[in-house]
Amino acid sequence: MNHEHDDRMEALRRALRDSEQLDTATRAKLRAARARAIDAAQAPARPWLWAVPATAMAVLVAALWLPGTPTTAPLPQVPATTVASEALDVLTDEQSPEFYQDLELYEWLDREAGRA
Amino acid sequence: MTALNAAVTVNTTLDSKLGGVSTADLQTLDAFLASVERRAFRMAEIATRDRDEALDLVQDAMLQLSRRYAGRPAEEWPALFYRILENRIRDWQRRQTVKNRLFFWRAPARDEEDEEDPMALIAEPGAGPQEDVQRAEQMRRLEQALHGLPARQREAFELRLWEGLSVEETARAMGCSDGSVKTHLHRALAALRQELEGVWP
Repeated sequence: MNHEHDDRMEALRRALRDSEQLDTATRAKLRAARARAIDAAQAPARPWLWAVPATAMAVLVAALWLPGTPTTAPLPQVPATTVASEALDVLTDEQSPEFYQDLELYEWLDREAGRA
Repeated sequence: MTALNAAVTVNTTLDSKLGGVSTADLQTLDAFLASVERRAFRMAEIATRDRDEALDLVQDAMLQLSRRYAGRPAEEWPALFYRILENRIRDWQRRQTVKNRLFFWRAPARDEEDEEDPMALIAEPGAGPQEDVQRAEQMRRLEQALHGLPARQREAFELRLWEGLSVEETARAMGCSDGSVKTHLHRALAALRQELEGVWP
């Protein structure tokens, strides 16, 4: 850098530094901002604080989502006539309701017996 | 007696530590922030051309530095502070760009009358009115030229020449290499020389 160039840069730097003389209101606002920053440095770090709203949000999402899950799952496409006839069989059958509750178990036992 | 001395030392240490930062550190931090707050505000104001936004950005930068880096060595604060501030300014400018694209019909046309009176920024009692007017015009042109620079060039100029950081500190603040700082600064100076031809002696 030549001498002239340095002089110009120095003049720019001095002008910019002079422009830092701010009005009283702005200076007061900056002082207040600095005080808040120093207060923030004194406050103990609580990195776990973010977990509180995150957990609350997760619970909310789960509460809203879970009850809706069965209704959003695609229903099996079964012909209406089949459903009606199966319902009629259950109603007219002499088997106890407990039998139908364990129907899958009996079907499995039946399959196992067939293999043996 | 030795145990008593040890207890006093422990108590003194506990008293002088607040949230992991000693009282002495806080005083040093306060002094550092006081030394940079006006300059930082002016840099933000030149970049945003909005005093309120500039205040918010400087306040954010101060808070961030205090919360995250108060415990770091004081020599690291200048680069850290200006890095935070420049990131905030760049984020603000990105948001403004998006906002202006979305609401282009509402973008206010900047009127010369809306701009800050540069006379208010010149505080040098004793100078004659003619000199005041000339200095105010020079300042207005300088701010305009700085505002018009690409962000990286403006940052390099402000940090290196205005703030007076070393090349290494400027590189840390800008998150780039020393060589990049020199390149950005060289381009900034070339652009400013062209823009301010005839205005600055």
